[in-house]
Amino acid sequence: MLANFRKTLARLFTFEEPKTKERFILKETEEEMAEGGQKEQDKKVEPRKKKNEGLQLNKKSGENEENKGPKPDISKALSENMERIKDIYSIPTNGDAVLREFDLVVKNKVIPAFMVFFDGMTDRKVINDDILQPLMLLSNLDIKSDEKSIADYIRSHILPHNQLKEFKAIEQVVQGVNFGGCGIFIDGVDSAFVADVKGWEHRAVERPNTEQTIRGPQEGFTELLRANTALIRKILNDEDLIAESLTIGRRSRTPCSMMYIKDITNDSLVKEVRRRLKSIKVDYLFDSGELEQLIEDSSFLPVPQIMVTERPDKAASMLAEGKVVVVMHGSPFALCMPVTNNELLHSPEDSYVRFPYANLLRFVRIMGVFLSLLLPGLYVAITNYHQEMIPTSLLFAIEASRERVPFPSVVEILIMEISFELIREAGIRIPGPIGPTLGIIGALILGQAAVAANIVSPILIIIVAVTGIGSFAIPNFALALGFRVLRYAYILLGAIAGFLGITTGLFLQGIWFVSEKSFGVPYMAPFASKTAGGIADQFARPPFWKQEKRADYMNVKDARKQPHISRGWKSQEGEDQKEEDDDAGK
Amino acid sequence: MITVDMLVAFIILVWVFVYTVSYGVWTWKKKNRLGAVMIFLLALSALALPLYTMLFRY
Repeated sequence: MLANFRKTLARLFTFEEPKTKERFILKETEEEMAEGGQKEQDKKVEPRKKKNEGLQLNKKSGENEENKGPKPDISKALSENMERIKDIYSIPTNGDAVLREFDLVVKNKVIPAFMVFFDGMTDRKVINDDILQPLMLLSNLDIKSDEKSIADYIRSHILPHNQLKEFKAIEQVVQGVNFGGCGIFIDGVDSAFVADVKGWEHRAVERPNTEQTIRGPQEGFTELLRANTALIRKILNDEDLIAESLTIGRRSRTPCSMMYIKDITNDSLVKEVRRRLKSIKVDYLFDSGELEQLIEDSSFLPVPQIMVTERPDKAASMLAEGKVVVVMHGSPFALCMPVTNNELLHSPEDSYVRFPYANLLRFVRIMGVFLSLLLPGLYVAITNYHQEMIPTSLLFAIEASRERVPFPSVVEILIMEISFELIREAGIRIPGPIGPTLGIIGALILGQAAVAANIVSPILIIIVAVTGIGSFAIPNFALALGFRVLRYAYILLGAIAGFLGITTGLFLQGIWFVSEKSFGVPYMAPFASKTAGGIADQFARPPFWKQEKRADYMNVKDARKQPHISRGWKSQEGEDQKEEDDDAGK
Repeated sequence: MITVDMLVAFIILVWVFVYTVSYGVWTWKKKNRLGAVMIFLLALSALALPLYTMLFRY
């Protein structure tokens, strides 16, 4: 106790060398090095294998886990297997676990068997028509075959199911059954079949609710993993698109899919994402939001470091940029990583509309960020400390409107901001049709009444409303939430020290954001740290045909996404014109 | 006359001084002698100047 106290005291009063943390850095790929003309030189300095070695910390444990696998423990005695399955699924206590016993006839020999599945998670028709019927009725047909093993005979001739797996361990069978499979055990066979017969109720593909656009596809992700991966694959149509299957959650074993394009995405990024996902040790996962919190770099940064999207086209474009996308079963939101602060301000619509409009929209969004973050703080700073900055007539107007308000402006603005947050939160919680009504009541009646009662000044209503609109203009919901949190800090800083306080806040926020990374990519790239290739398509968007390269900070294998001349007809037109001119000259 | 405010300010100053000196010691051990000397000077001025202001200017 005393030793601990001394230690804490010493730590408080003396400087201690900070422990060096090994953080993941997204290094350049060999291909990119070669593009820079450094390949030969690097070969001499460093052998190829040592590239992207930032991830080798847990490699051994990961490899062991992969190779280990569950031990084969399925018995040849059917009764023994049945007892184990009954024990695992607590049958008959467990109402939805179904255990069906039956006999099949293989080469005039009656063999007892049973199947286990969950009612409601499986498709009854498929079980009846494709599994039970062939096993019970067709197995005694005179099939000409030389197979001696019963398992081989059943797999090759009896079960006409397209996704049939054979396992030697009960654990694997249980995993399959838990995820909508049907486990089939046969007497005398020391393995079991798991047929994929998923058939649970699910939502159809609908419009994405949180990221609606006017142009572009109108499909959104659903809660089904395979539907989501298929939606992405359907857009990309690329055989190099890899969808690696992983399970997360010690108890839930929630299936996830880690997607990337193998000849674009940096290998070290893929390894890092895989390492983080595999290292997660939680019992259950309910949504990709929890997964995001488990794999993000910094939990205390108020803004997101992983992009969450409901749109398959956005996820596909992220993949095409060399990012990794993680889709989780049960969540209609995919996680895209790494992401920079700037990318969070982009909307899929930026690519679908012509570039002048896209640039205007981006400018409006950046304005929205500044308004959402700084406007209330600036108002407090100006009214308290820098009255000389506003025109006299406006100053008189503000002062006249505040004449009867008994609170200082900081209290006034905090009252209004908190009321606005309450209205927003209540609007989300209240059932559909009543929600907008509450918004109107909140905005009109409450605001009007507050002004009439001299609790707040009319100008403050405008400030809070513009701040709210600015916040809604931010395309990423999580980013808007982050700025909402920071806004209160700026209000307090403005109240304490005016512009000096706000400048200090901006300076500290700048330092904080610049020092952060998302999966090895500087969070404020390409502005800080500055990367080669400039800020094309990051701040302002060039015409589509000019977006020739992928972002430099991604260090992708294939940096070029379209050739220098992507509009072949344009150069063709030039050549034709030249030929015509030449002919005329002759 | 020493007030409570001055006492609190004095404690904070001493804390800053001790912490900065310990950083100077660490820098000295890291063979950055010039850097360490400068940190010691900084620590001294961080203590002396506010003390002078507090005790003699008011």
